[in-house]
Amino acid sequence: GCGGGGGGMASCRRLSGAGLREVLGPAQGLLFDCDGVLWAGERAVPGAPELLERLRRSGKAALFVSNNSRRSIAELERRFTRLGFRGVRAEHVFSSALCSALFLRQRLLGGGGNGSGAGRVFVLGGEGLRGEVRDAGLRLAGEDEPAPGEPVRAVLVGYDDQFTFAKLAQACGYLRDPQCLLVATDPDPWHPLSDGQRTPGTGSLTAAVETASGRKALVVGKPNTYMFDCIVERFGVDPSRTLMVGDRLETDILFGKNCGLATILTLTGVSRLEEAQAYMASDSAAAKDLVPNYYVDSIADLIPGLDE
Amino acid sequence: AALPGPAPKDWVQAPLDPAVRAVLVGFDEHFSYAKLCQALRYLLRGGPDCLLVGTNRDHRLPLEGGAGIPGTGCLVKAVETAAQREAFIVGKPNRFMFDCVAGEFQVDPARTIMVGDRLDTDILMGNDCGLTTLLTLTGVTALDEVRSHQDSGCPARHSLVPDFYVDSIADLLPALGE
Repeated sequence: GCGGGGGGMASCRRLSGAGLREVLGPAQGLLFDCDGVLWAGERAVPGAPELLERLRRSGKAALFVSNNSRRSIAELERRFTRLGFRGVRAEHVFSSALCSALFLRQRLLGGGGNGSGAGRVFVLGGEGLRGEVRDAGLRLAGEDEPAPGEPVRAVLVGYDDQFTFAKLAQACGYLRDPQCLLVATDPDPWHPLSDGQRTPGTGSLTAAVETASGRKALVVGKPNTYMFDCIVERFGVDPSRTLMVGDRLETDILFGKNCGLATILTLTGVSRLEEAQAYMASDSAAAKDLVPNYYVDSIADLIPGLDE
Repeated sequence: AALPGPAPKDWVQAPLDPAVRAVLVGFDEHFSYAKLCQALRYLLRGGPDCLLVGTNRDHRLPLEGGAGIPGTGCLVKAVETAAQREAFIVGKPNRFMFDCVAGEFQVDPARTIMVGDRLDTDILMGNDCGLTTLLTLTGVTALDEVRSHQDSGCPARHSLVPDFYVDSIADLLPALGE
């Protein structure tokens, strides 16, 4: 196997040389986070498109799992192409927007059927997220006249740069019904911008809704494992032969640990090596789960581990 | 000021006021993501040199009929989460406001009664400051809440229990002589 999951703390070893071949050789596939791993803003990480190409030639699967709830899958597919990544199809891409829609479809529509009588979803988020919810067969609150028997059955909090107090109050109104679910796309407190600044994440908006409503949100995104369930359902991935590659210890690496995957931290994104080392030195059991098995400066460093 | 563009990546290009040294979060019915973004910018720029202060942590402001609107606490939590730091809260149950009152009016806690409707703000502050505490039932708290804190084995929850209660502050009238 790849040395992941199971008991014992990971040891945050730099992956290079012979170690690289030992780890990548047996792997059947890699799950990649996107922001800070494949690209930063509008720039692909140098060597990242080549890595994906080499993975394809080696017969290893590449799937993508992102907490970013801004974009629809179709937009993400176009983004891959625009940034120079070839051969990535929509079905390979799992975003928290898509998975939140699938989660709500499961909970509100059960095993299938149409949307009538299932209730509506109040979405705090942009058009990318709203589109995924509609594509899942759900109806959104605030769009056209509600039919009888169509109460709001879920509030979905996503990345919403148009969030306002009024929307917060509206969400709380719906959540007074204990049958109404509170779901969040991801827990990220902030996201980096290309110039080193930060923009507030879904996690900060969810905190406001939770505080106002007295409810805890069901969080779909990493580090929770639901997105992995979606991946397994579509592709039947073997965790013991799959590597998780990410840039954020608290989401990507913990997600890998939770799903029984070996983890690789790449340093082109949010988390610094010192943070991983601090978690490793910590006495807390929870901190140990944030330590990656391996790290690289960039995913381009994985290329020498693949056959020519 | 108008936003310099439609998206956060435009907003963060606007210059910051060099004199800002604190972010103060109060009740803001015009709270927005853009404001949250701006608060985060000041807090990141200033680090520990930029204060983060919240007026209070109330979750809800109750309206008639059991409805309510989100309280300041929600907005404080949003900023705290984005900035990954804790705000200094001025309001009850923090004793800061009592210290302000006591300093100005020479209040003797042993001879002062705190009257309130909310256990985790009014009564907690009163108990922490050594006041006699009186709960009135015309607001958010029902008596069974008090009983459950009383019966819990938890010292922190015992601090939420008032010394006395009345159905309404009007019940105090007979005790005040002609």
